[in-house]
Amino acid sequence: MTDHSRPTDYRAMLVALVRRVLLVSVLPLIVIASANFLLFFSLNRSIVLDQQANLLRYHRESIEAFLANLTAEVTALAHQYPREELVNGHLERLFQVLQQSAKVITDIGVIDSAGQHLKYVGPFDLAGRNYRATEWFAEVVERGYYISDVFTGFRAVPHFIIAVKRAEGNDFWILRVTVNTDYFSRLVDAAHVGRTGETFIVNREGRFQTKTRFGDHLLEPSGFPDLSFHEGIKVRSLKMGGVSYLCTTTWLSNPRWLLIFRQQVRDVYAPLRNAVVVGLLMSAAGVLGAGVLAVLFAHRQVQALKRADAENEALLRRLVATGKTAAVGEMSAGLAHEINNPLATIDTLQTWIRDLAGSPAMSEADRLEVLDAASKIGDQVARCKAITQGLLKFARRVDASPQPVLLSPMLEEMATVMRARARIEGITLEADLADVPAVLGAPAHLQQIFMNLINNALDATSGRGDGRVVIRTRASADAVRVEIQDNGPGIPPEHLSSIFLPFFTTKPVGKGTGLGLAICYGLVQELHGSIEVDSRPGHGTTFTVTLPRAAQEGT
Amino acid sequence: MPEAIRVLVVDDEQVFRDTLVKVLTARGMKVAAVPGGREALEFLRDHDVDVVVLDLKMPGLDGLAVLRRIGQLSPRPRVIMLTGHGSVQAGIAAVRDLAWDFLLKPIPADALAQVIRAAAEAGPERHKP
Repeated sequence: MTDHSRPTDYRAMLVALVRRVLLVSVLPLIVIASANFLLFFSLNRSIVLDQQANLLRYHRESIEAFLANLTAEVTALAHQYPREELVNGHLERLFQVLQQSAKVITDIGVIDSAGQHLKYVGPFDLAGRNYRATEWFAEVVERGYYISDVFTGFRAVPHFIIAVKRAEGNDFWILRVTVNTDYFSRLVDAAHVGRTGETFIVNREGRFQTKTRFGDHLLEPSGFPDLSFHEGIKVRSLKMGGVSYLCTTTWLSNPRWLLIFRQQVRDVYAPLRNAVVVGLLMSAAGVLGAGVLAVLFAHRQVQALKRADAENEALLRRLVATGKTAAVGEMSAGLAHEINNPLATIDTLQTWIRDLAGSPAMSEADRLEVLDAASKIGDQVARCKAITQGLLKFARRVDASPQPVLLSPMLEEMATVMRARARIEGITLEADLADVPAVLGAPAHLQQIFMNLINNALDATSGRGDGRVVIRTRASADAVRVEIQDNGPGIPPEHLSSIFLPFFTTKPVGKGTGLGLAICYGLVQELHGSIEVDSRPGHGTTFTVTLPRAAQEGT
Repeated sequence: MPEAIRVLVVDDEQVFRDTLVKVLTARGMKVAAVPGGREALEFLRDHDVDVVVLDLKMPGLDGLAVLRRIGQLSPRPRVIMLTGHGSVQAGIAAVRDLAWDFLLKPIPADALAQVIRAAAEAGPERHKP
């Protein structure tokens, strides 16, 4: 049994199983995760961009409102009081009024049409300065009011002003406030977004008009690369100082300043990246889990298979062993008859010799009779010896290792032994054996195959009186064919499909194990041969075993 | 001296048959022998027999078949079955059915003679139809 069962590659089976389970479990997981990521990514991106645009839109409105309100307030105050009133003491009060809600402005001053600083309230020493030559003075004279860019001016400190022209009689004067740049910067950069998000204003030259979150100073060049005018809100990625920023910009209407919200791209998508990382980790955990489960599952399956295979093999081994016992049992019953008959004859002969020799007057005839009986005993002993020698030959062939076996001589011997049984059952057992080449197989197995088939044939023809069983061997191109033909009742067609199944038997209870043909089938399979049955009810049955000829030489 | 027991030996083994005839004759019995079942039934049609020594396994008409046919005779001789085939079931079936006894070959001739005498003393069965 060690030789023919091809070893199953459980390892390859395990790998194939794992691969298959992983494919059906992990592939959908990856597809779903990828789809989710893509969807989530684009959704998140559009949400982020929308959010930033909206944020900046509201922010611009509030900044413009602040500047407009302050301008309106200054205008109102300029028109509320005549110049002299302000110059002669009201300005301090106005400064206080304007300072009331918050330190929105740092100073306030009244300048006459000649550019002379008539009155100044504030921390710097600017009274008496003349502004005729300044840019803002020209602007305010021309337009009536003016919001300046940040500039250094006489005080040598960056600031910006709101100036309003007030006509009084034929003359005019100007009320000017300096906006608190700290306050304004804070207003602009009100909301810190993320780790790197900042809001600031640059003028058309790209210089900072507000202080930034990260300490940029007023009037320093911002280095912002895109200062071209555009309507509404513009969102795009720009590289500054080697770092990618997501920049949302909008131009203020007055003054023409660029309101910028910028955030490092890395920072913008940090939550997204975190989500992706978490998602990836979860997916990886899923894949890992699926992998572990796949391996466990496959391992268990393969183990179960291994166990089942082992059980099958054990069962087959038991079946073969049982079948062997059954065959041996049947054979030994026949052999017992063959030996017991000569023994009975011998026993009777020795009684007869004793009878003859025991009579006091032994005649010459009696003496010859004793000699005759003794020689008959010799004949019977010779008969027994032939049987036991045949049995020994039989018993010697338990070798289960495959070797080239010549079937015809083997079948001849079997026929001789089994003819004993055939004869007492009135069956003619014929051997029509050709000179066929060797086949490769274990002698014990081959013997078992044919013993089962011959026993079946004898059973089928037993008790008929004209029973005839033929054992025939024939060679074909690459195989040897053995036919066991009987003239028994045949096999009913409805049984033909079941006869090779284990435990299928039509013999009376206790007579057949139902294993014979199943074992034949299994053994023939192991020898890479085939077994066929041809049966016509009423005419008999022929079993044909075809075995490949041994690879070595022919006969 | 009582009348000799009439015995019919039915066995296909010629040497056994002949020798058994001699041995049993030497023991005071009136012994006939035939080689098969058919011949046995023919013999029984023409001769009265007390005990039949019948081999179970024979070519042609089998021992059990002969036993059944003998069972239909009246008066019915006692039958002692002999066999070399160690099938116990067949033996029990034979005994329970119609045979006086069932003996396994080889059996010593004196032991067989003893059983034959016992069977003959029991007399033929008449009650069965």
